Amino acid sequence: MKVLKIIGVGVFIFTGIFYFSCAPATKVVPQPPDWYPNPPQDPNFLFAVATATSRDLQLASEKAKQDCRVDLASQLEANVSGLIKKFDEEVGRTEDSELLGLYTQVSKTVVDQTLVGARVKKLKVYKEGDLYRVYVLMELPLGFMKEMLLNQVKKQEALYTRFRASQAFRELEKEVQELRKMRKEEEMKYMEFEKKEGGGE
Amino acid sequence: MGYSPRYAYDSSSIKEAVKNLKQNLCYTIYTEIKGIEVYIRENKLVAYMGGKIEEVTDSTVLNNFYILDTAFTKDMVILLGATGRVENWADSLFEGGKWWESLPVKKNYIFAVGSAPFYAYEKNSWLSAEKRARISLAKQVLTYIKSLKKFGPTGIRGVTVESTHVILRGAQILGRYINYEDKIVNVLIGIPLKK
Repeated sequence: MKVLKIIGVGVFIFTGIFYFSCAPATKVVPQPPDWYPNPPQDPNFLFAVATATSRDLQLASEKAKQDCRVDLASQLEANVSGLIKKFDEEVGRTEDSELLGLYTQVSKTVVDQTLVGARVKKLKVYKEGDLYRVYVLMELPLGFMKEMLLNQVKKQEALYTRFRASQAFRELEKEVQELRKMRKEEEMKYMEFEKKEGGGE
Repeated sequence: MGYSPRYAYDSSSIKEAVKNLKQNLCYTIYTEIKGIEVYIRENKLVAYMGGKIEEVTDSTVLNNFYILDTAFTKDMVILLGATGRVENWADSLFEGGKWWESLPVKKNYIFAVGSAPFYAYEKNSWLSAEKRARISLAKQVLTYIKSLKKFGPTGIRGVTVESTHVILRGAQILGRYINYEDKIVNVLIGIPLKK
């Protein structure tokens, strides 16, 4: 009887161990990085986040970046529309064909054609079974877009004469001036750095 | 770097590695990257539909080159070369960190990572990863985007066409990492932002 009891307990323990060892392991899904749900905010930059998966790490990364670029392009369009609307409100003539022409030209140029300097600020790779999951945070400096808009306005003389008096235009011009100044300073710094590096060799 | 598989004669391997080194140095000095890629979106899923991005270099940009070191591995010959004599090795541009998982941060620098699976010849893995890194970098410098998104009762559907045409000058390879577990080679590339 005692032997049977021991065998019974043994079988029970063995079954338990077998059952738990066969139970599916809990899949640990890594938490997305902090910046994914809360992308940074900066008035001089646009930010976009995206995630993508693939068996090929490079493809996962490219897909996420592509998604970010599309998001940045649509944000840029909204930004340009906002600026144009500001001019429009101040000047107050929406039906103006010249103004509409500028809007179409600028938004088309910016959204349909170019993203300059949209760079990956942060990238995080996780493995999910056979797949790679890539999180990407991309930033786009707004300086280039503002400068382009200013140049477009300046090209059209009649519009320029009307716009230059407006507050929105003065703000835009000020921002672009500051940007140019900053860029010049950075260029000088870079040249000095190159000079120093060159001298060291 | 210049790579070559190990052939029966070492001299043949070295000859090919030198040829490859010269080409890779040309890519560092000057690379023209152009091409187009198409992606489609179905709600949260993005799929790559196809495309072709090519890189071209000019062999005349390389006036001089020096071989700084040579290594023979089991199935590869590797040459380390430069366009000038190097007396002092520059410090690494980034402070350690797993750059293949999380890009390094440095002001006025653009970084990109390229990765490729293990191929039969290791040199092909490295060359492929380097090319992918350069293309990724080019896309960050300039991308033309045409995107159409449709919002319907079944969700979001769309198509995006990305194209690029960029000349990279001075895009340097800054790091390499072999992930033996997943059989992937990773390359970190960077370019300083002059303007």
